[in-house]
Amino acid sequence: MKKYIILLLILFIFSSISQAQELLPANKNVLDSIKSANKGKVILFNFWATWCKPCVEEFPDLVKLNEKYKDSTFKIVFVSLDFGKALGENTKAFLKKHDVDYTSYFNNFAKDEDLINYMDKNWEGSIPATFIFDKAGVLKKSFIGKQKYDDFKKVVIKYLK
Amino acid sequence: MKLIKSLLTIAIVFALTINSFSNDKTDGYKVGDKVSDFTITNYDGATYTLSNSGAKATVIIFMSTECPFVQPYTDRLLGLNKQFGSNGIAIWGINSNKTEPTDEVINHAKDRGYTFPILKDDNNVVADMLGAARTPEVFVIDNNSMTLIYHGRIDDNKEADKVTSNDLQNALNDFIAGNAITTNQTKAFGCSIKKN
Repeated sequence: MKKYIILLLILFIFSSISQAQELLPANKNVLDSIKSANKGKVILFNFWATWCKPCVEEFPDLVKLNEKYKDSTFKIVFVSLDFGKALGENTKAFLKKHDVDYTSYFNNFAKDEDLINYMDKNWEGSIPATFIFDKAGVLKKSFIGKQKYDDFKKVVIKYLK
Repeated sequence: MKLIKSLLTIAIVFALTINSFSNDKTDGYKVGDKVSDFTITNYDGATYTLSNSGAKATVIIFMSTECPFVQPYTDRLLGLNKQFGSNGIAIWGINSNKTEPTDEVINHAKDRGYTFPILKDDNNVVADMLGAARTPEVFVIDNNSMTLIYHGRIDDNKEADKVTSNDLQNALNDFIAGNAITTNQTKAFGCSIKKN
């Protein structure tokens, strides 16, 4: 009986960890839901990939930003552009390494151009790319290319007020 | 008063002059814009001048030795060169990445068997002039009018078996037929060009 309870406990803990670090497909409906569910919050969407060096370099700053402001009205949404084999193995390992124990996403739009235009019609499609929406859901800042912590923080703070 | 009038005249002339120089845009071109000429002296000593490409249209594709969005396109680019090379279309691959040295570019081109020239754009001069930001990114210039007639992607999926729109091929077919290019501006994901 004791062994059975221990086994159940292990399975429960494992499932909790797996669920917490979910990597889910994102299409238009999913992104609409995220925006809708987080109305009243400043939302930062970051598009990245494990093979994208500048994305990897700025990633810890974004994780740090989330740590600093997650208890306030701030939401960070990572969307990976990894594909193929990298998506299953490398992406999850990378997220785990950077202690991203919350849900993040991968591109599941049928057409890349639809995702690009969904975020910002002025975005030509290069990554890393970060988009910051204010509490009313209006796009306020698009960062194309690698940024520093202070660059992100300055904009986030402005719209958290 | 005379002095003020003279200074004003000089200022106006100067402003107009700057305007005409700024046709050499630093923030890129829109389809329909006239494109500035450029010359690249490549690593093998050969010079490539846009206005002198010898083609009816020049297809410039910003490439990378490492970007996972570029590598799957090797066969498709070879196919396009085979299809259009004898129809007066020149394809030039350009590498503007500061992180990809010339030797790497040469070896990569050899490994891939590219049948079109790969040019090294030192200090990303041409990338900046055209406003290129990612790889792959395509600019098609009509050599007769030196205007940009297509800008964007090769097609709509990096995975060849999932392509639904052969955008660059369609654009070149329209051009060769003497028709207006139906879809002349497209978007796709790519790796940012690592610039100086």
